[in-house]
Amino acid sequence: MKKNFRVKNPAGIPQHLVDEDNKSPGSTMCLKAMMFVGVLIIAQYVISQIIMRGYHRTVFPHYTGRCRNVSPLKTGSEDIAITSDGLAFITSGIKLFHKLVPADSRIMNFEGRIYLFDFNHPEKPAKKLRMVKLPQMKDFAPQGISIWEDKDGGHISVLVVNHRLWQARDTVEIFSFDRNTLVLHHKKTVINEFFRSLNDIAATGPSSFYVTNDGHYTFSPLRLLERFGMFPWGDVLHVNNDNALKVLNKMYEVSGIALSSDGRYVFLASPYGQDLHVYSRGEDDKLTIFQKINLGTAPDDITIDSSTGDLIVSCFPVWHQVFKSVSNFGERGAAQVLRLTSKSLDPDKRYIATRTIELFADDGELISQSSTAVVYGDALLIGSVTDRTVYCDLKG
Amino acid sequence: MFLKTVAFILLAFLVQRAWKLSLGFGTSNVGYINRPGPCRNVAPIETGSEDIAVTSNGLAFISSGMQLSDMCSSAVDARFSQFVGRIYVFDFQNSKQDAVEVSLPKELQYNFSPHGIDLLEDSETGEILLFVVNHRKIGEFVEILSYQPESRSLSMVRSVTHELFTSLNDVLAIDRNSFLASNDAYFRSCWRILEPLLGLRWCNFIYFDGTVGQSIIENGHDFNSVALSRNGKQVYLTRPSEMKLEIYNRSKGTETLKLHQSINVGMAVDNVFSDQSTGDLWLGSHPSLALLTKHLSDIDLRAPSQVIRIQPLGPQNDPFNTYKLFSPFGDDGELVSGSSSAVHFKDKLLIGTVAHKVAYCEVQS
Repeated sequence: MKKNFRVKNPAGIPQHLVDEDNKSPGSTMCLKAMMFVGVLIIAQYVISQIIMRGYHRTVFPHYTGRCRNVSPLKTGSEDIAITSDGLAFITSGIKLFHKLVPADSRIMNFEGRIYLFDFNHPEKPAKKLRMVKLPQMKDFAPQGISIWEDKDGGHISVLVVNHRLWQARDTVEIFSFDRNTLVLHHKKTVINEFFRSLNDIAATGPSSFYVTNDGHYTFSPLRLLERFGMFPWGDVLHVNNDNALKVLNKMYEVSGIALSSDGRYVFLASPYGQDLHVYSRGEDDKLTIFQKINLGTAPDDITIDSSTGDLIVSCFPVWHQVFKSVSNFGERGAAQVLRLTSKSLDPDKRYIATRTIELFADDGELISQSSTAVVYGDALLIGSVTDRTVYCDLKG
Repeated sequence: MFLKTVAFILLAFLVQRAWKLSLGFGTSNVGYINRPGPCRNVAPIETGSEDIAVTSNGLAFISSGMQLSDMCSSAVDARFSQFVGRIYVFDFQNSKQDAVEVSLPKELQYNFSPHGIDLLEDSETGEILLFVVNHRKIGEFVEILSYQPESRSLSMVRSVTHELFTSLNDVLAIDRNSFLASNDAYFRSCWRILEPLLGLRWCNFIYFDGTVGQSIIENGHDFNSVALSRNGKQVYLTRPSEMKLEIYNRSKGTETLKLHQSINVGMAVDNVFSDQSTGDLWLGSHPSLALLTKHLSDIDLRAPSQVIRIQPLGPQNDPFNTYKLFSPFGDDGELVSGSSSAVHFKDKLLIGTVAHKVAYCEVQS
């Protein structure tokens, strides 16, 4: 039986003298295949970056006509936390450059403060709160904020993520709020080796909380590599009495975190996956995944509408605009606020099937980059990373 | 070597087609619920309301029951063949009343699969003439019908068919005998799927002057819906797969069209309505063509809906020179699935769908 096969070296010439052209066809094929796969990987990366960062998205604005600015906030309102009786605490003046986001030089003039907006008196401007006994107040650069109200209606604890530039570290500041004098009394600075690049915080007690690390590096150029290399080096911690427990690991750019009113569920915003994760919370504060809700847009912060239990999710519909608009305040970023309401009346099925209502959408004209939103009654308060704050009356 | 080049070119071509199609396809799009005010369905419409035309008095004519089964039956839900083609009339000025079915002329009973619709009002006699695209079993027709309001019936004035009608979508009435018509594909059968896949440009846009039909725009793919500007000088044409609205300058009489501007809407737009009182354009749109396709293959699966409004901010002679896009209505498909059209009349919206219900909304600004 005659076998049909190619003879590589018919004349029996010593191998090292064999012509280049007679090189085994296998190796060039292999190289080409590798190049082909390489091109596909690059193409897939580029396409997924384009889609994730929203280059292809158009935002169609809509909101009820009754939306207006809240004075005197002009230097950002990155996060808002609200009490059960309508007092909203707003963090303002975040200096983001520490996360290697190239920022507009005007950000250097930002002053980190906490403002108070009272939904019961919306016509009044927001009030800058006095902070007492806060060490290194000039280095206060707040981001995430959360409130713990004592059930007996008395004491209010305010927990804030602080990006301290002088110490080149992130800390959590715990304040006690005096309702009568409207003063924040600083009680404690929480420092922990697991605090890498803090983003948002959700209180589980007067001084215990969940906190998100949106990445590993903060003050180093390695953060850029981490961001574009899509390395999942963020995580979620639970801190109690200075003990930090890593409850979720290997997360990429996770941001907003919130606790359900009954404390049974924890919600996490995942802008990368354009979805919202719902975790059930164990006795030991450990988290197990319960549901992932696809949002079709990049969520940043989550708050709870206490009257209905609905989730209010503020989003960056065109994610890449956030970086653009922080590096140049003249560029506006699109804004969007969603309400996730349950399809089921059964409290155990609350977060299984939801309907997504778009409460607010803007192309950046009214407000640039909505980083947070809270609802109280028929009103909506929307904050942004470096821009204004907007109050909307949702009543028809 | 030759084979490798061919393979590479083929791959590059497929990647280009996939990329162009995927954006409009919207596989990651979720339907957000967004209401301009109180909204509800309009009874008794349940089997589609693909296109809507409105008189100056707020009388809306809705084409319903289009049987998509003539368009590749294996790709669509079998229940489409049981749809009954109808025209409904809904009065914006008596919005609490249900929509009422209008009786068809004898020739069209059991022979009616309506698609795009337009109307002409005779300002002197008050006569209303309807122009309806009808996918008859034997071919593509434009039916010109006269509305008798007392008997709520339509009488046949004229039936027009032409070899250039390959897969009609919408019609724009010019006068009693003439109209413009758009073809959204070349094939009516399952072969039509090849057209967007391969980027074939075999569609044309037709002017029928009463006797003769001719192509006034050729070599396009997917000309969907057509509308006329307030002053009659511009024609608007939607291109769903390219997610854009094209504006053509029109020469009356010869009906020559010249492309003036292309507005990239960023969503798969379907029917366009030109609001004669404000100059705004209202578009029924599909946030996700992927979900729309699934809905058409199984009517019980919901497809998200969205209404887009384009507000002209430019001068009189070039109104869309600058413009702003808004979206006053969005739905996850529970109220209305697959919104294909939206008409606006005095702060009220009527939203039609390909194969589902109709929504009526009050717009509270």
